[in-house]
Amino acid sequence: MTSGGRIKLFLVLWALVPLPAAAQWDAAQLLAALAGAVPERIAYSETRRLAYLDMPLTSTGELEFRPPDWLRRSVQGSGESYVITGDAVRIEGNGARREVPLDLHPALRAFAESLRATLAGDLPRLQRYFTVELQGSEPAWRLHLRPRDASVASVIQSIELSGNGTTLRRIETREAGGDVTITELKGGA
Amino acid sequence: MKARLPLWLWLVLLAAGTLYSLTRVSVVSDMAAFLPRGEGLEQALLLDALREGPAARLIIVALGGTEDTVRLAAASRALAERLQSDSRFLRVANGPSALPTAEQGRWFPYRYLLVPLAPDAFTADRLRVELEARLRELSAPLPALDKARLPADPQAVFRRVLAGWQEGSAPPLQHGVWFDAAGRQALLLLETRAGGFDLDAQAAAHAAILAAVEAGVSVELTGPGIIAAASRDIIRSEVQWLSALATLVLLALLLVAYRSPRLLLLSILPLAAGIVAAVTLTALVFGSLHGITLAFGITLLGVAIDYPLHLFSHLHSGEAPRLTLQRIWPTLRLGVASSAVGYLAMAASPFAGLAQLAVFTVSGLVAAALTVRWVLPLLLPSAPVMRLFPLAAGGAGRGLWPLPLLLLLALAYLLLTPRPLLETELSALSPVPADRRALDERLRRAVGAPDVSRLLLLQGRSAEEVLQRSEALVAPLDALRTEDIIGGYRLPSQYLPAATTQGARAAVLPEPASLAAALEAARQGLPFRAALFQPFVRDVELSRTLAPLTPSAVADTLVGTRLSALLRPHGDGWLGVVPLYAVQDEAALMRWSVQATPSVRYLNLRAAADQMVERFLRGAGAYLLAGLVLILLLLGAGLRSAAQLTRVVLPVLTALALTAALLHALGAQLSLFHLMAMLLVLGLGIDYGLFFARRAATEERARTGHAVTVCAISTASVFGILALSQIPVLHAIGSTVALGVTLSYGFARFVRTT
Repeated sequence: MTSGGRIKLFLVLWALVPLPAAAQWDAAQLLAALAGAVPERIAYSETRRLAYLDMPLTSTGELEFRPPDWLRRSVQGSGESYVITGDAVRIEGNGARREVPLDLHPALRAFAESLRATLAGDLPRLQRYFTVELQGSEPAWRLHLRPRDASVASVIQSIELSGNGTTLRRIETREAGGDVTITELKGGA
Repeated sequence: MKARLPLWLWLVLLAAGTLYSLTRVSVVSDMAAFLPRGEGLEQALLLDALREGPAARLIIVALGGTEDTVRLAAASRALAERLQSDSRFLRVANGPSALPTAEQGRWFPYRYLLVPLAPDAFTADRLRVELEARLRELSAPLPALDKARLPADPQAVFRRVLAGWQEGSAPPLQHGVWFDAAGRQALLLLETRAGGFDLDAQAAAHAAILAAVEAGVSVELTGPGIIAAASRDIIRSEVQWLSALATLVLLALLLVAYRSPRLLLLSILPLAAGIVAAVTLTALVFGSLHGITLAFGITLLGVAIDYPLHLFSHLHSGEAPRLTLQRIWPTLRLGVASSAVGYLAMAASPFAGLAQLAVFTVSGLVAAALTVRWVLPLLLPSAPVMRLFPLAAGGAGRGLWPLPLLLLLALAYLLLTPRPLLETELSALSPVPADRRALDERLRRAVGAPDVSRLLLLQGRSAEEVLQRSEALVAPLDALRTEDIIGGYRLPSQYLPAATTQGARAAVLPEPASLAAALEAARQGLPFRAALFQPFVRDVELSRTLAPLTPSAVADTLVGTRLSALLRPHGDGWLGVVPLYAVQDEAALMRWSVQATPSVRYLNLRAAADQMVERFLRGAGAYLLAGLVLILLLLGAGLRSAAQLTRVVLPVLTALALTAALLHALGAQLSLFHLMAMLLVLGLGIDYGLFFARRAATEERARTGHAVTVCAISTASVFGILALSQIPVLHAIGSTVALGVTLSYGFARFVRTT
């Protein structure tokens, strides 16, 4: 497909947003409920299965969120933390500190919003970057995100958030090349 | 029949000239062609930069008109994609995603030749450090964007290649594309294939951009070519209505003065014939005709509209027009000859523009005068009804004495004024309306467009030699940057290293066996799969025998086009251009450049351009003075009387000096255009002086008064209308001629002989 066609498709999808939005009343409700119940700090453990590696990479840490768009992820052990604020991600650790603009690549932005917009309960923001599909029922739901933009899709295949009730329990990120990252969230700390 | 011979000859010549002008003459609009025929390297480069350089081909596009930045970003991407497929644009950029994937694929195999690696880069210890860094990147909670390259490039060498090609400063990003600092407009940078002074191509590029922008988004554009093309259009439309108005006023004046539609029509013939002759001869002599020559030249030929008027005013019943002409011909001839001689001096000028202008004006004036002499009398009614009305006031003038005083006052002002007299900025030559200049400045600031006016020049016998010298400049330029003398630089070798350097890098790459061993040692204890880095070992081995890339081999790539802007053939050799950014201490830079190794030349393009204009102006001034001397000599010989000469010349010289002083006092700086206008005033004023200085009977003097008065009023009103223009060029020419002619006429009338 030509890139022009891609853009047209993108615009068409964009125009169609109000239609699925009506059907996704549930997704909107879910996000609103999530946002209302999100704890200030969430401990997590993460497992990455990468095609390049013999064994999975595991890490634990803590997520800290202040609505609407401040998100810190502190990785235990490495002493590194990633702060997504506004339009940049700040990487701090071992005395060094650098800032990467989220718009350096559309995939960075989309990735940041997948978690940030979800925690903020901001469905329109989420839908700007992903097509959002809700599966399951309220006690066990799965929110399936697919990138709208082709250049994002060349990096991130899909992201699936799942949980029960008003709690987000698990994030499964599938990257191009078959790499999978599973992040388990352990409720409030 | 024999009496009509000149008429037939004239008609044939006119028809042939018109045919030739319309079919064979090409009008050149390349500004640089009007400037001096430069011999020096700097001039050549300067003209080249003006004409073809990347700075001249830059277009900045700003999209706005909606608060929705997401929509603007999408519009920016859509516009970029559409323009990328348009062959009119060499480069379309709206964000940091610099190189298309296909081109990255072409450069990737050459990564070990393109950037320097530390001597220990392939040791187990160093590889271990790199692998650990890659592992950290993989475990970071952010998508690894160049993950696909990891197996072939575990040292992330290609990242350094790409980083080396990034432009110095870039506007802030929003939604992945460039925005202005306030976040209201999405920005794109374009480079056209056509040169900045190819106005038709620039106008086409402008139209293509406007057509590619989606509806509902407003667009602002700037760039040297865009501005030049737009100014041309503005000038064209303004000239059209101004000249229509001026023609109407002129026709009305002549109708009032002569009350004869026939005379009205005939009055236009000499000027028309003059223009045809001027176009034809100039094109024959120079091969082509410059647009500026045409515009200025026709302005200067405006004096020819006076020639028939002198004849008409002196007609009276009972005398054949042929006889009337014979009476005034000596005076008219002297006026034409003196004007022509004044311009003739310019023909010898090394300035191509001045020489063309001289040939154009002289041939036009002579043709117009010949038309009056040989053709008009044949077409005039034998006994026209002429009524002289109050315009033709006779009577004696007063003494000459106040004129030298005024002249001295004006000259004293011009010599003593603290404000610069001449406008020497090249930009002042291009008639850009103020709001366009403001837009240009705002958008340039927004994108942080590089100031490419300060350069170092490197010369070499071959492209390779220039690249080698460019590499040798890295250390000294870094030192200059540390000392805060310059803020940054861009070297041709940053795009492509010299072949020798690439070869030397290939030669020190490790053999596959030792690399595999080092890699295996480095990998110990890390979770990378055993065979993961086989592509790395293979690529390093291939790189050992890779033939170095040359400028011609990469000419079709984006990086190659950027290189070709900084590295190009010049004469027998090659020239390297090194743009310098944020020059803080020009004096120190110049001191360094004089004794730098390898030898370089420092060039400030803006200063050089301004100097060129100044030289041009001074050259024009010198030829103007030389012309003036020739005019005085000719008039002296023709009048054979110092007193008469003074009477003819003093009024117009006083008028010119006073005009210059008044214009300057009112805030103008004298430009090329003022100078051209003053040339016209000189020609007109000498005519007035000559006619007023004729010794004749009272009735004849009244006719002369009528002629000169009609001439002066018509010229002053036509150019007064031109002075209404908002365009600096037209305003300058209009106000200078209107003021100069009014003063010339007033002074000449004031001192006419009894």
